[in-house]
Amino acid sequence: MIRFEDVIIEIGEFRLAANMTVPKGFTSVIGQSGAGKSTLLSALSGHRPLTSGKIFVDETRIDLLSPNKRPCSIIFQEFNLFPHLSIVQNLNLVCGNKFFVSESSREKIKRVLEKVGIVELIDRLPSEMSGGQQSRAALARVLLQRNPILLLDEPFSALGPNQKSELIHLVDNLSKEQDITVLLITHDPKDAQQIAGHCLVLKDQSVLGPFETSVALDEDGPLKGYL
Amino acid sequence: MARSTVTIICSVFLVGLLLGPLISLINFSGLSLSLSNSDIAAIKFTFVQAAYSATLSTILAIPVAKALLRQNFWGKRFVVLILGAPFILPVIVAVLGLILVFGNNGIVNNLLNLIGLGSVKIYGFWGVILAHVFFNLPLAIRILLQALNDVPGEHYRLVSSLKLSFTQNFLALEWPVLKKVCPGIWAVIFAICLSSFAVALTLGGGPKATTVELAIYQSFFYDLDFSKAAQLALVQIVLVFSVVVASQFIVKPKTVFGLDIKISNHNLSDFQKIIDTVVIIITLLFIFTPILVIFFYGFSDVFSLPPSVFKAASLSIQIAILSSFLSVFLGLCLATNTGEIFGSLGIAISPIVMGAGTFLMLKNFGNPYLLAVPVTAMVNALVSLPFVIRILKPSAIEIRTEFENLSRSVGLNGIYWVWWVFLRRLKRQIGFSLGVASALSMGDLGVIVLFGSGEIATLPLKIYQLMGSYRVDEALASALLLSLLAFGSFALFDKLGRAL
Repeated sequence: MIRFEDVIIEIGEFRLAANMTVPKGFTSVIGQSGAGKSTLLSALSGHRPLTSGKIFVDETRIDLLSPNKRPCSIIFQEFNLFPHLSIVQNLNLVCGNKFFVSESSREKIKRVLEKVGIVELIDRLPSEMSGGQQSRAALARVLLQRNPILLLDEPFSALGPNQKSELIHLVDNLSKEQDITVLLITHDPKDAQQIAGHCLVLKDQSVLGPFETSVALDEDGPLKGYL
Repeated sequence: MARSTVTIICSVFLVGLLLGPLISLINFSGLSLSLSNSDIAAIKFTFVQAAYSATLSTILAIPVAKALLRQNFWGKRFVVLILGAPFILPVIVAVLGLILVFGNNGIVNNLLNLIGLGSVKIYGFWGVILAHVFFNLPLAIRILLQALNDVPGEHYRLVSSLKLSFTQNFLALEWPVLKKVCPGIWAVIFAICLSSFAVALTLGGGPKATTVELAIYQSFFYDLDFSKAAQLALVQIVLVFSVVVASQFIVKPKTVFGLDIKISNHNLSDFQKIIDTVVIIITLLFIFTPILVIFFYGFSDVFSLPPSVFKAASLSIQIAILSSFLSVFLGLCLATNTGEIFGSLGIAISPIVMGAGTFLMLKNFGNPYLLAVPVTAMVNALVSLPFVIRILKPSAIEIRTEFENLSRSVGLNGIYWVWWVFLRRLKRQIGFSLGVASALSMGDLGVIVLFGSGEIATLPLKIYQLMGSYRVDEALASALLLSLLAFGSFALFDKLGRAL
């Protein structure tokens, strides 16, 4: 469970207030452009400081921790892999030895790449892979990080509908298998409908919810106007 | 360790390295507080020659950059590329080349005599200006050409469709660029020329053509007046450092965004085309004739050079390798906006004072001549540091910004971040800056004049000694060898940076 307690994030004129508890499982984050979806996830992952308030994961306060100490992994819209490093080198960064890729790390990396279906691309550079394959590699790194929370900042928005749907289902399966709580930013209510049990709605500088997705998508629900 | 901590530690270390020798010198000799007439003349000459050199280089660069922008010809890219050559050409070689072209018996004077015109004088004020323009004109052309090239093609199309007059055309297209870029170019060249030593030593000298740096050298060698040297060194620091800091605020490149449509046809009249061609040919002749004559005259004797020249070449290589790696290491630590300001101290502080001060500090611990090589390498590294930082800083800042979020999210920091991201992403710039630093060190005729003797001589010092004893053929052949070493080391490191 993730709990936002009287959280305020201010950036210049922009202001976002959050006071809610995100349940375990798959939750989508919906709101118009500029509503603060990425800001909310950045605050949770530690890439943006809070103006005030506290964030707890289960009963542990995490908002004072540095990003790499927080129990969150994040996949961004772009720049998820270092372009000059091969996939195995990219994934090795979150394994034990950081100066070179040991045999045991390589084996470990192979196993997660098998799970995401790109083990044969282990020595490729990101530029030698498609957008979907790059997203799978980023996902593999998240599995290696073994964090209980996964934040997805529209990582699949540049992909075609089939690839996107395939990847969202892959995330869903892996998160269930490893008991990971997922927050997915999306513009598309269909994504939320596909798998997200719950939904956070960003409206009028506040985070509303969580709602059950079916309720949020209802004609008179909080997404009225957005839909 | 946070990056800012590394910059602070390195800046403190650097200030210690730069100011320590000066303090040691003041401690040893005291500080003279009054300026003599000759000191004031040296300060005045330093300012005037730097202002002339900067102004002439900047003004002459304008028609050349415009001509290169407007004309498309086979080999244009190569021409623009080798315009960088004078920057890494050893000063002593360039001076020899300029003497062969513009000297009393040089090509130009022979031609002028043939058609019954007077002759040009290479020594004294105008010789110093000529050499400085030779070094800095290509630099000014390249910066201006880049700036003019950044004007979006749409602007040219719009102006062309409005059928404006020549003046209106100039005011609409070129004036905004020149207004923005020229003050920065002027300031950079002015700062470089302020600390000129080797050019003034070989072409200047005497009461009418002595720079502050040369006056420092003369105080050491001829007057043995160390307190005067320390005083002049302080004057030089104040002069150069204030100009360098001011230039940081003047040089603010601003990108103009467009659709990146380049104009290949500038609708020029035949007359304009002829003028452009003449401008380009004269510039290329001015820049490359001195280099080519060295190759022409030096080639025949290069294989029969005495062993002492090869010994000096070997010492130059050792110093260049040590110095370039030290300079790039410091440059990597200081590749930030604050670091650049501290790094710029390198061109403000007299290399001769640095060398002499270090000599005095080391003499308490043993024979300082034994440490001539590392001391020369260190001073050379500090002298090339401002250029190294200029090369590394833009990409270093871009890497930090671009990969900040990703690095933080995978917990990559400190030495691991340097290993996996910083060094790997910067390898081309590191190769390039190692090349520049090694070429600059290879050609340096600065601090080595202090330690230099029959036993310890770098190749530039050897050439200077050969010139002084009128062994011109050997000097020319040695100059060719030095040019090959400078260009070769630059090419080797640059290629390594690209290949790794």
